[in-house]
Amino acid sequence: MTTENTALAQRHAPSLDRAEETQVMNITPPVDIYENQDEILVAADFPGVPKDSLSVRLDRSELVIEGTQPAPEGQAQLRPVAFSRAFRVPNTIDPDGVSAELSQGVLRVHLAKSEAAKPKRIEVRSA
Amino acid sequence: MENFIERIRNAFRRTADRVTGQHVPVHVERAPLEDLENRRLSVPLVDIFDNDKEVMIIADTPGAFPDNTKLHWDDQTGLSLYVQRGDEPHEEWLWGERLAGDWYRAFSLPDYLDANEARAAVSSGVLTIQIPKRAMPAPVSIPVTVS
Repeated sequence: MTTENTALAQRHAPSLDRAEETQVMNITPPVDIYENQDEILVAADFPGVPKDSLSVRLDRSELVIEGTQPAPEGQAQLRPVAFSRAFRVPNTIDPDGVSAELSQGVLRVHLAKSEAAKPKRIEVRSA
Repeated sequence: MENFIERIRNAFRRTADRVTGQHVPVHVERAPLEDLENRRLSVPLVDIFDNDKEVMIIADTPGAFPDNTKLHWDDQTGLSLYVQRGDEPHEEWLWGERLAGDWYRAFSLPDYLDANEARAAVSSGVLTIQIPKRAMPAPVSIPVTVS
């Protein structure tokens, strides 16, 4: 369908400079970070981001989450939105225990704590 | 028989709309929205487009899916969207930026919009609402006689 008039564009603000037309709008997505004894959970808002444009990378101790929300169809002057954010991850995280899921526009990254980092109960023996 | 034809028509209507991702329809109800006084509410960003046949509102409401999304309209308050997000199932949080409230935004409904025929769908946390325009009488050109 053709959408001739843009009455309001808050999600994909058009660029004022003609030369910027094909560029993307860079946005830092808001996140919540939770912790329990098994993992650290990072929840980030990534609305309208298709799974194939999503990238979650753990490079040594840096977690980088990125994704692009395409501009609505038929709107040449609106720019796509590129979400991107990076975090320092503590060394208590098990690099093989990182998983991520995207559901209803919310990206949740689970960072499992390594066994050594989990709280341990220490048995006290009577001498 | 009529019900069957209506279902086919609805199926075509849905596929003819924006085809990015899986769009799941959301019911639009003619009734005032319940009182949201004690809830924490956040305003979602929207894009609004219009053309000859309809107005389209696209709202970023991450966390929205049909069961937690309400779209109500009435003549007094216009069209309201409300998404009841709920908290993450994790006890301790270290850092909170994602306005952990519900999404709410209301729009006025001018006469030329037919809210009865409004359709809405949600996909990847993005809510799309389409409100058709009523057929208005065509503009009439009035001849001017010059004496």
